[in-house]
Amino acid sequence: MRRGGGRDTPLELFLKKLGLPPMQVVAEAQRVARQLGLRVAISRQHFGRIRLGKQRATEEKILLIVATLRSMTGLAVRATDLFLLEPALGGISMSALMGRAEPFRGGTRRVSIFSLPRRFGSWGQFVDDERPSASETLEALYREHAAILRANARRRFNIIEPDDIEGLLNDVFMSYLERQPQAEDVRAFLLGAMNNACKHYLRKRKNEAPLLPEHEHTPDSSTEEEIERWTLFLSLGATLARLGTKCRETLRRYYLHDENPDSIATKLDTTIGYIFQLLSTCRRRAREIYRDLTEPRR
Amino acid sequence: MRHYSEEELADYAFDPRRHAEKGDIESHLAGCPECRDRLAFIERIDGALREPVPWEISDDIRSETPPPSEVLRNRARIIDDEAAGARALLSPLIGSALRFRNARVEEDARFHTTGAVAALYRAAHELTERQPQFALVVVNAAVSIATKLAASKSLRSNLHLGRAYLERGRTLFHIGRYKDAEQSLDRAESIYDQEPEATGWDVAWVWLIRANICVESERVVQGRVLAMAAARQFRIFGDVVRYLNARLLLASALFMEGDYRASAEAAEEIIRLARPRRNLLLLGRALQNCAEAYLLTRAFDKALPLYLEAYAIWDELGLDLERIRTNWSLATLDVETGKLHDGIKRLDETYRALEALGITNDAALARMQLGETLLRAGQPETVPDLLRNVVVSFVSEGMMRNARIALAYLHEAINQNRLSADLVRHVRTYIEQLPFQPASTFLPLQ
Repeated sequence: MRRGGGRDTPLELFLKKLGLPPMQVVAEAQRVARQLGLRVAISRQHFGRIRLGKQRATEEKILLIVATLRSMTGLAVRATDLFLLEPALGGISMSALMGRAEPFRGGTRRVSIFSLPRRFGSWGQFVDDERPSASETLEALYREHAAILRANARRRFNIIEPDDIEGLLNDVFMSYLERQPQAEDVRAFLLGAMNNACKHYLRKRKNEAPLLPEHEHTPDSSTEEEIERWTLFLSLGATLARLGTKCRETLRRYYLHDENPDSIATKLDTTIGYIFQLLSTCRRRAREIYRDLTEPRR
Repeated sequence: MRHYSEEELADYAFDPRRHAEKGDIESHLAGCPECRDRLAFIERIDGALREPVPWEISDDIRSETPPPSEVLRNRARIIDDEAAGARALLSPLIGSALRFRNARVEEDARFHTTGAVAALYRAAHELTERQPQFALVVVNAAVSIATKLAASKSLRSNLHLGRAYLERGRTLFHIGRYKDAEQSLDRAESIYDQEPEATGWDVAWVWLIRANICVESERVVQGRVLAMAAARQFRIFGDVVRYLNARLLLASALFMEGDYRASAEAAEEIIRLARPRRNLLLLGRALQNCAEAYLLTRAFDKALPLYLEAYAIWDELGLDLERIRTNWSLATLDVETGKLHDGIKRLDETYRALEALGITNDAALARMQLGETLLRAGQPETVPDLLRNVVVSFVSEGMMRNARIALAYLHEAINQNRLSADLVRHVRTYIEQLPFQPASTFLPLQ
């Protein structure tokens, strides 16, 4: 930990950035200590010395301060955000790499003090449980992703029986709810799980009954190229489903049915100029929706 | 250079042969990777619109919207009820290791639910960095209860048993018990192998932790292969943060193998992906690692902006130690590019800052590097005093003895007035490598 010097300690910096008065922190710390049944307490003077880097804090006090600031701000702040905890020794090249190699310090939580406040778990400040309830998750995710998962089973794996598809869908959502994986791209996660379930289904079916001709051509989903291709198709399918009827029809005629703009204009009883304008606008709209569906949400 | 807008590129892609500015656009595209990328995206979408599959998928999506089945809703309710029950039971225990141990949760039937198992291994996950020993007690309880429930067929899914073993492996890795960690990971992998619900994402977690163990225990090639495999799975499953961490580990493994160019390339990709996500910590690490790799390939012009950005990030995050280390790297870069005056200034700041934080060995290394640079700059006056005060500290008695021998050699050279930049570098390199080659004995400079 810092032992003096002119610069602000990380704790002081944090308090300043969030405009938290130290006296209020001390008062909240007393409340948190009582709530958690901790015997540790921090006086105003002691907190002042810790804050300014003039005195080291014990592990218990560090945890109490972390818990207090979590409670006050709702941010998943960690001890390492507020205190300079000494790392292991090492030369610069190795320490620069080894310390950064391991996966557990790389999540967003360490830097969460500058991100938006998140829902704060109610069961003790030392344990985060920011997962929404399984029931809420189910309703939201099912509404958003079930249709594309069904389409994936039907189109990519040629599974035709609706009951079988529903069974696979249930399995995928159940194991998702059990895991609650906090993946950034939930759709990709569910699709990965659906692919897995479909492969198991087909393998099992192969042992039970002879495959139908359409099952013989199940795509080899293990190659990078196949993965890219199906990711594009599924995302574009979801994009087209969100386009308005006029755009869908114009794009379908031009691209899928290979009709020329003249012919489309005649069939839709409009001008060729309007069809060109529609094609340009609808392609742009499709790209916008596609990006919205596939790029990370910030 | 003026870039073409997406609309202009889309017009060109619609009918390249008849576009009025065909020649201009094509000559611009030849020299502009950014516009080429944007055009490729437009062409990819236009091309896929000609395929029947996306249209079939869109028709499927538009035609079906049944709600979740009652079976699914019931399962969600059970998960929520058990999670609430586990929270109520664990809340008073998880803040104190003593209280948790005294509660003997493994023997208490109230904790014998799948929800309690999940709550325990999630709590251990959160505790690992701050209180790894306590985390181990908590995760051991998760493993024990999950094993009992699985034996009596009352565990809802064996994914939880696999996850409990996985978290145990992760905690043991943090404590440094690599062999035990690998055994626990073996169990997790074996459970996942037999569980139809387990996916590449579950197994990728095992690989990622195993890769870390390999890299830490100098099985770098194996670590690199595992990190690559884990990264691929995380990418497929859209788990970008874990993907980037696996790629960062891969970049580190490549660096340790001496393939600095490939290491820099991997780090560049992480930088590109971490930037729009505003994942500052990961971005800072990737910038720093990438710059280290460029420094060693002597691509100094590429290293400098990366170090400067990393420095700004540590400053923004208030991570003083990281900021000091990046300043140290900048000093090395200054020295390597002949800016000795600037390098001396930064090295002086570095050793003083490290000493103020009590980071003894790194402060000693920075002092020696400063001494070496002052000698190279023809400013030997302050060097003897600077180097007389070099202090190192190792827990291992053997390493401490070896370090003392190296420092005695340095002091002897000071007293005999035969200090040279090469001699100081020789001692510095030895001390720097000692933690990684603890048994190596010090040999005087030939």
